Amino acid sequence: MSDRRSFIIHMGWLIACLFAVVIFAASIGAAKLSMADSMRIILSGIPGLDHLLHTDQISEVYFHIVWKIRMPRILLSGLVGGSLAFVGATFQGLFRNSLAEPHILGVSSGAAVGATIAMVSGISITFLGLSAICLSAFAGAAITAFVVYRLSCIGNRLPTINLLLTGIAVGSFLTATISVIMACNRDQIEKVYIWTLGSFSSATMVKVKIVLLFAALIMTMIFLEARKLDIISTGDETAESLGIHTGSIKKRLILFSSLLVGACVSVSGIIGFVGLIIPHGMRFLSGPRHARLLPLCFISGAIFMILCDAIARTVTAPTEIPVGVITSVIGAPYFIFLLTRSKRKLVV
Amino acid sequence: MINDRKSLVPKNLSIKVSSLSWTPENAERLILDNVNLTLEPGHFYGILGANGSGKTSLMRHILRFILLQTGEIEIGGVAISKYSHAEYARMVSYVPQKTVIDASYTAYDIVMMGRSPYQDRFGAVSEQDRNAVQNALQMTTAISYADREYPSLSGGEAQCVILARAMAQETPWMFLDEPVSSLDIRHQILIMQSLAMLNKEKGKGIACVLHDINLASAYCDRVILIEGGRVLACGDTKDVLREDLLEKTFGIGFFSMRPENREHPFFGAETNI
Repeated sequence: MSDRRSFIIHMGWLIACLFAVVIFAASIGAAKLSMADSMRIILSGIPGLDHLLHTDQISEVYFHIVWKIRMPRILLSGLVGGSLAFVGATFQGLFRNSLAEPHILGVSSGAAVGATIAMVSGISITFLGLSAICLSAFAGAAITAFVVYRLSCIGNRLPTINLLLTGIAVGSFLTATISVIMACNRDQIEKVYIWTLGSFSSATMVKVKIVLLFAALIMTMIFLEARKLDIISTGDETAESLGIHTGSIKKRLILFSSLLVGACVSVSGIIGFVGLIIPHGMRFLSGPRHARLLPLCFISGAIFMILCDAIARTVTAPTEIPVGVITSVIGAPYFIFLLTRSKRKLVV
Repeated sequence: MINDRKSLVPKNLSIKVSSLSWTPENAERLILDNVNLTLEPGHFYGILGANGSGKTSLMRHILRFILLQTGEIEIGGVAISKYSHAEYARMVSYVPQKTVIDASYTAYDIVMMGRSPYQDRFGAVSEQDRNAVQNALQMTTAISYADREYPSLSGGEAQCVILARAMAQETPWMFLDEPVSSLDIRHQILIMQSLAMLNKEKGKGIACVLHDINLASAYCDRVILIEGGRVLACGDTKDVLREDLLEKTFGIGFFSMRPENREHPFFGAETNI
């Protein structure tokens, strides 16, 4: 089977899975809804299909539950999961390090500091429908990305090892800062702590639209550099000798990826492991070429996150488990499984 | 940047290094000390010198991996900094001593990357790209394992793939930094023979940093001796590979002999320093 054909097949069944997962996630929750009704309600949102689906027997309440309550959350978790997996695959190629993931540059910690400051200071401004916590988290992420980037540059170059070490150092510093802020504001500890564990409980369509805008722009831009990313993943000097201006591409991709991570973290909190395990898993399916790897990562990241969020909000209902906890509980063993599998492959 | 496409292939593609000096950051010692050198197209240069003498630094300057501090390097009469990345990659290719790639690209994929300077953003593969890759794989014998994943190849096989990638780049100049230092004797000969063939049949200019004087004696038609960051000698192999010059270069005694029926002299180092 040719590479292209197998890619199309993988893409096809993953998109089918994504659709099934969306229907499943929309059907579960406090108000029980059958999968068939859930599918009808979702499909009725597509112009032209609504009168073919015989949705008149379904109560209006369910329409409200699916479209106003569950879908924003499903769409947001899908977008965030897909984006984090996409950025994870990009970083792993860019840094030639399979442990690189969206949070490694300290961007998430920067977002968390921003959010923490907004929470403890009680600022209540909103802009474009986004809360002060979101805005402040995004600003924290963007500033951190810029600072890490500036600190790692040596002249005009951006050595990978500098970037990773600076990211870890700045990330640790910012995590410590959060602890200090929490220690000084004990009454807010729970709120801050829960936020840092990640959740989609405050999802709204406004947040979906904003993350969608960032994700669409930035992922298109990264995807257009997929071929160069392939070559950079074989080494910086190699890429230079093959006519690629690695410095400028790295700078662009890192800054834009960080903005996307910032946008994701600002609406969801810190959610780990997605950017690590999804690209690893997808490489087994598609091989290392980024033009194929990146779209597969987006779809499967979305599937994974929608499922994790569905578990987070239903398993211990009416209380919720933070989704970051679910991704770690599933992600860590899966990652160990992947590692042992690749180790076996190396030994053979 | 040079926009006129014709200017990319200047008629005389000689490489001229003038008054090149370089001190690395945080170092006091000059690694390159007023290097003046002209590499003429169509020749196979062997670059010899002791460890730390500056031969790799010189090559890295020509490859634009190190920014110029003092001096000038020109190709075809144009300063190397004036060429765009893709333009430069169509003139100069590079083979490092060792290339570690963890990603599971096949040997064929890696060699196809050599066509990158000729491809558009989406990497559409032309018939010419396919032919160049096929020829390069055949010349280096890497065709027999073209479908295998790069990380699973032996050191010698991997180096043949990297050489094939540089060949697929179809550049008038190829630079190699100790390409055979960690290889068994069979792969050493295989790679040096491929290079000699490229030089003779296609007139490609080759500059190769080597540690083995006898490989330089057997395959290179010109030799550059570097000592203490300066060019000690540069010229025809038979004129430059002399015991006295080698002694100055490496600081140890040498002897040479020419076995019967052999075209090239054989060099050995005195075992007592």
